[in-house]
Amino acid sequence: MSTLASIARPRRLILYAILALWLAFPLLTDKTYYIGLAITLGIFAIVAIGYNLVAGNTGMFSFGHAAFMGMGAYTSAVLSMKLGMSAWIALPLSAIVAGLAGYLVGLTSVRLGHLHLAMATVAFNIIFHNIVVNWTFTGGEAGLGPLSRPALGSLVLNTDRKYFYLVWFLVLALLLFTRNVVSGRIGRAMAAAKGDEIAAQVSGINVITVKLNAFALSAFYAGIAGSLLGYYLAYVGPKPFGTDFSILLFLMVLVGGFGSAWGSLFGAALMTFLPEFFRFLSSLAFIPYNVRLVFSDYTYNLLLFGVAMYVVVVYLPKGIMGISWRNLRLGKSKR
Amino acid sequence: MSAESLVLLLATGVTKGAVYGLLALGFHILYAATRMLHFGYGAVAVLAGLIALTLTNGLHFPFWLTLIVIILLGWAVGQAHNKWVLAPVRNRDQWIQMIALMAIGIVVENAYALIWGKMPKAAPAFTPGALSVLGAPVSYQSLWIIGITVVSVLAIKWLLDYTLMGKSLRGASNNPLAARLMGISVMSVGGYAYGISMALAALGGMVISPITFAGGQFAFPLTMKGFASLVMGGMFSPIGAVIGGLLLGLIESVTVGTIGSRYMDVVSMSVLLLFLLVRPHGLFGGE
Repeated sequence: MSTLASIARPRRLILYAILALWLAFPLLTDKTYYIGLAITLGIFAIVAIGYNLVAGNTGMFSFGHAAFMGMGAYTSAVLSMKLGMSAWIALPLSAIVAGLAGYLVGLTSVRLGHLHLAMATVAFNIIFHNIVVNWTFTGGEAGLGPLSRPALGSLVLNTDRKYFYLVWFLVLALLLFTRNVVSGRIGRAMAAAKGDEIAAQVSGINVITVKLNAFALSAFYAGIAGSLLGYYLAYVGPKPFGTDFSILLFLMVLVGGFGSAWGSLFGAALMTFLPEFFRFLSSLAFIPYNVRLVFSDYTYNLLLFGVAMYVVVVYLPKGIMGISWRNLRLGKSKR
Repeated sequence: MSAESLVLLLATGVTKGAVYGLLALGFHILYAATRMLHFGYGAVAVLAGLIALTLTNGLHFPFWLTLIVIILLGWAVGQAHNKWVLAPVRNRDQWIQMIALMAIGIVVENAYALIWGKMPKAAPAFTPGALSVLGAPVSYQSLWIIGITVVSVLAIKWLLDYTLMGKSLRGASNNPLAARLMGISVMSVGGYAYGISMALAALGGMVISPITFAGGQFAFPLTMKGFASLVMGGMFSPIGAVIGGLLLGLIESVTVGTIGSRYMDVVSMSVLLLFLLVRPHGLFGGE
């Protein structure tokens, strides 16, 4: 676990400099496109950090987190559109609803092994997706919209620049909170539950409770992210909350590295910029049309992600953060 | 409810249920012998459906030849899984194997669009037409499906009980370590298990494609239906897997008849979750 405290002083200063630069970035550019990407990155980062609590720290692989994200997004949409509730109240409420849903799904799932857990969470995601697609209350295929952005008195977060600061304030707050959870008593209990359940039980850790709490907490994070996504797009539809996004979310955290918050950030960044990179490749005229199709079409993008998933899980199961950079520098490591 | 609609409901339920039973039986064999579930299983079924379609429509293969080719294809895909897909992950953690198989499934189910296009394809029935039972039309395809399922279940029963292959599979299922000590290699058990289960998946995909459609987007739902049947019947019971499939088919057709087809998957997946919560060993799993 790379915590801020454990990083030596000069490296810590560099970290703060990068952070300051990142927070100043929306002031330096006028392009809403770049700011929009940064917002998406922030939203992905929140879910990824939450997902890592389950997958990385507790060793449970859920394939239903897109549904928790959708739960947050739809709760926000319903609360603010049908009840006229302020976004500042709707956002935490949707996170709580998602967290409660996570607790309920966790009740059925956390006792199961990897295979059955994956099965149960996929089943939950299919149920959620089918309900929001078919129910008139949630707007069916068309979804719900338009949502109005959060406002605090005269301060309305109506521009992307202002929304960026809300999202990234939450990213940093959740990052710090997660670090405290993981390095504290709960985090050690989670690590013990991941390592050897019986040994953890014997040491007085209630493994089921620990796993259940981790699951609910990560669903809570996903709910925050879903709500933020809803207010950012000013629209909530069923499309982003299918099983395919749950699998991409898994891939995001896998590529970054299980159990590392920095890895989650990296994975979120990769998943934000890769579609843009694909779009860029598909616009290059010198590439043959059939090859370009692979980059421009979502079905074929999934194909590429599948290949990436196989390669990463087989050859790099600890993700980018698992690479020992020192040993990569050939010649130097051999003495 | 009239006798006519009851027969119709029962016929569609049993037909779909028979296919789910075939898939679940394949899952059972794989799970019992290797303690692994394959999330890309439905992709193999869909692949078989599409290839069968090309063989009969495009190349005018006779029915019996298509059937044999499809079963052999399933066996070959299974061998390829055991030899190549699993080769780099064989002695690694269970979750790594699960993800590797899932990743292959994602690659394969999305690759179909490259060859067959994105629109799902409809396959012709083995024998067109329908039989009239109490005034309700029951298609000959349904009878084919039920017949093929009965024959395959008996064939699997014979394989497991009377052949060396079946005995080594059962040995590995009862006690993997003891089976290895008796000289049954993990590799050959894996080959048998993947071969038989993929052949069953291919058969299931081939027989169901005239009733539903064949396309990459149906792969994952088929996998999940197979899982649900297996969990209902019990992970370690071959006959339970088939009965679980039949039950799931009936539950789905009753759902379609009462609530409507939109909530079919919601109901079947809820049944899966309910079983995982209340009775994880399934109906025939014992304790």
